[in-house]
Amino acid sequence: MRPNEAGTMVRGQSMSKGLAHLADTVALRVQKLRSAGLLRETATLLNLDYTSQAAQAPYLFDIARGLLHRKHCAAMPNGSRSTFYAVWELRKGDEKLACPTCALPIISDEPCHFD
Amino acid sequence: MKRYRASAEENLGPLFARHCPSLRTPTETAEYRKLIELTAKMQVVGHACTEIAGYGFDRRRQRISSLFGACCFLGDSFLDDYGAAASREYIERFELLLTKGWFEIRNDREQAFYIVLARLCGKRDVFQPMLRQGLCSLFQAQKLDVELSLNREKLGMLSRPQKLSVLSDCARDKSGHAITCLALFLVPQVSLSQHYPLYKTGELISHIDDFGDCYLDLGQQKMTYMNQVKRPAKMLTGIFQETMTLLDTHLCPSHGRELLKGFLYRYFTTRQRKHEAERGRHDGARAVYE
Repeated sequence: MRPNEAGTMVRGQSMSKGLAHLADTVALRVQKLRSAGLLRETATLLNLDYTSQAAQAPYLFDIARGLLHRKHCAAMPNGSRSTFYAVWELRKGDEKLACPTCALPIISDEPCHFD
Repeated sequence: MKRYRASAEENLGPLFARHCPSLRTPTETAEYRKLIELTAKMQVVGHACTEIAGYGFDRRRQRISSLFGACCFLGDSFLDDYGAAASREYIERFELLLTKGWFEIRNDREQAFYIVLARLCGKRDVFQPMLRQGLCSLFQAQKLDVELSLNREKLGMLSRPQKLSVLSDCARDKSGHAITCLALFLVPQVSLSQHYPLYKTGELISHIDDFGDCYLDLGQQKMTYMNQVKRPAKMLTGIFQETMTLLDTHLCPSHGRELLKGFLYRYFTTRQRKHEAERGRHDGARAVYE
């Protein structure tokens, strides 16, 4: 048996597959609601733009050169910042990447993270 | 590669059968094979990134790398395969998707793309700052790539060194940010000291891709660093050797690191053969390569 249009779980389907289909259906329905004009055009479902937050971060990591700078470091190259990532906190080992001009502090805490 | 290909098929087959039946028809066999090949490649790279970060490449992570491969395949096809006007429109629609979350679905390929993206976002917190920045940077790199393809006169106004610099940075950023995103979808944390060599790996992959597509891109009047630089084979060999050395000096010895190096060597040699094979082809179609 297969799930019906609404993604209802039916016998023979694993729980995870049933939930995946349900999530797919919900995701598609939300977009259809907007396409049908049933949601406000100005509403935001998800905003991944990080520009304003990134501007507040104390450090910038140049991922293409492997160099970590303080925000206003004079040694940062002028021009495109397409390879810069805003960094909020330093972790153990990051000092190896420190820009020689910046003299970054060394922090050795190990933050927890969820998988 | 066989088991990565089988895993890609297992993870994507049912999804595409359900959401994108047009890609499962006999006329689209080659296109579907390209999807599976790209996804298998993404699985190898994803496997290596996962182990480099200290995690096991379990079934969940195999699914994540398959979804990421499908997302890249479909996203690239929207930008490359439907002409200039469609490329511009897709860039606008991707920007809306990134900044507002909205994506008006017009056909089954777009439906599959949206479902792939929705499932991918369900596997990891996309608000994690590095991942979020990686996704936005990847979009900006793709946007620049489209602009360069569609506005060749802009590139023509630059001096040769400036032009090569722009093309080289564009190639670097496209795959550099892509591999950064792939790694961050796969594991919750990658150290900055690991991000750097992975980014450089992305850069190498991009140049290898462009070297393999050298003649095809020239035929389509698409400028890339690899088809503009003098002696591209020598240049690519230099970048390959530099990157392999960087991986040795910046990553701890591990199965993941060796897997990545093995993959890069194989990719480098197969794309060198592709480069030679494409030299004599004039039909303009993209063939399927391992």
